[in-house]
Formats: sequence, C-alpha cells, structure tokens
Amino acid sequence: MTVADLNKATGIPNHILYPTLLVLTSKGYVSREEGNLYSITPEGEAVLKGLEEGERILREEVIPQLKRTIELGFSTDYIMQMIHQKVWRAIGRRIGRRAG
Amino acid sequence: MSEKGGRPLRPSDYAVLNALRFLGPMSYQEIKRLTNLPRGKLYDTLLRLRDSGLIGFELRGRSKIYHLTEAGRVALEKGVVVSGFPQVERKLSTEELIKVLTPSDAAVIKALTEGPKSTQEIKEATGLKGLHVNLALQRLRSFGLVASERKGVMQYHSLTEEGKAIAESAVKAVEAKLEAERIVEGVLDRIVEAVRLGVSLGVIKRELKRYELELKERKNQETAKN
Repeated sequence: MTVADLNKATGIPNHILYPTLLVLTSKGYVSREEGNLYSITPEGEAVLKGLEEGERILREEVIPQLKRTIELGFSTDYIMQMIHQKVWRAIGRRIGRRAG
Repeated sequence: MSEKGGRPLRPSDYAVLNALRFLGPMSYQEIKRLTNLPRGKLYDTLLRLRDSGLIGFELRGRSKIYHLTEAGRVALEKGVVVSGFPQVERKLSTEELIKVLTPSDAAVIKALTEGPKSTQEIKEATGLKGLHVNLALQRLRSFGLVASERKGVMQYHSLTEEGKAIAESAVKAVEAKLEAERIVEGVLDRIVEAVRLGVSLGVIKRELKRYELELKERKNQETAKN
C-alpha cells in the first residue's frame, strides 16, 4: 500500500503517517518495498494479533469486573490510580524474578 | 487526645525540620542521608511530623518530596508542637475518609462502637498488633474521631460525638475500599497480560469513564422522576 492509499484507508493525515511508518519500519513491523509500497511483516502481524488479544481480554474479562468498583461509588480516576500502582508493582516483581 | 500546652520537639524532629528548613523540599532518601537517622526512626519521625501538620509532602513520580509547613516553621522557633495533633475542624466527607482511613482505623472504630475500651481490649477485639492499634488510635485522635483518657495505668479510648456520627459510614467506606481492592486484585493478572501484549490502560479508563457517566445519568433520571 502506498502512503496515499493508507491515508485514504485510515484518514490519518500524511504528516502523521510518515513518522509513524518510519517508527514501524525501524521496529521491523512494516517493510518498505520498491515503489514506496508499505506492507506488514510477520512480526507486525504478531504484534497486531497480540494487541487484539489484549483488547479482548480487557473488554471481555477485565472491564465487566471493574464496573462493580464504579457501582461501589468509586471514581474512575481513583480506580485507575489503584490499577496503575498494582500493575506496575506486579510488572516490577516479574522483571525482578526474571533478573534474579 | 491532643496534648494541651504543646509537646517539646524531639531531637529527631529537630534534625528533620532543620534539614527541610535550610535545604528546602527533599525526598525520604535525601533526608535520611542528611540526618543520618536509622530507617525506622526516620519513618516514625516523618509520620509524627506529618500527623502534627509540621511537614507536608507532594508526590513526584513515585517518591514523596517532603516540605516544611508554616506550622513547622513556628514549631522550630518555639521548640514545641503548639497544637499537638491537628484537630479536623469539619466533618470528613465519605470520600475524604476513604482516602485517609486505613483498614486498621476502621477495625478500631468498629470495636469502639460497642463502647469505650482499653488498648488491650481493642487489641483483642480487632486481632491487630499493639503497634498497629496505637498508630490507628494516634491517627483517629488526630482526626478528632477518638478521645483517650488515662485511668490508673490503663488508657481508655472512646469515639467522640463526631466519631460516633461517622462510624458507620467510615467502616462502610473502608470496607468498600477493601472490596474494590479485591476486585482489582482478582483481575490483576489479566490486566498485566494485556499490558504485556502492548495494550494501553487507557482502554480501561475510557470504558470505566463511560460507565461512570452512564450511572450518573441513570441516577439523575431517577431523582428527576422522584
């Protein structure tokens, strides 16, 4: 797909598309072929699948449970603060275990 | 109960207050390095000074940056904590209680709703360790929710009028907070998995915000109907 095609398909303006493609190409998620044609690489496909799966987990398994905290009278900001603290602590523990 | 006439500052209080006075706001680590106080002692000192309103802190990233308050400046000049623990002059809202009360505080309040109790009796009723009971009592006194009275060698504690008025809502608020924490803990592994897959936590925020607004609208409609 050319940048013009991408622009038509996504509606994202060119001045944003170019740097985005640059980043995605440098990460190896997108490849640039002759004639300035961009295509998704297998790594890019894997990342996309991961994102879709992650969103599915959040929408189907996590958010319905978390709605109960809002029903208890807590604000979204308060719950997000709690989630941020717990998530980063859990990720830190995992990294720590791996490093250890 | 707040100490009438003020309590003299302790050497560790002076060390921390002077460090903040002369060198400005700083983190726990910087205070520790400058004052050379052992970790436990510094922690207690910071807690005491914070409860007395002599120092405050701001969150910068994950660390607390402590600063001297106006009351701290006065205390340094006079050498005493004039007002003891600050009394809360207005009734705490449920939202505020959620922020300041800990599960130990709630357990102590619950125990005291049955009537005045000694420290030992509170320990037995709550199953908390002595240190936690004392810290909870200290905090509750500072909020004006509990009054303590010494009778012989025993100290008896009871809920103040304000404490009685908010006891039920305070306990409910803390229980709700615990329930919310349990819910978040229950899905934590799945959230971590989603984050690991590259999804932003903004997805949760957007959905919860939408639900929050939906609930608010529903409540408004119900009140309008009634």
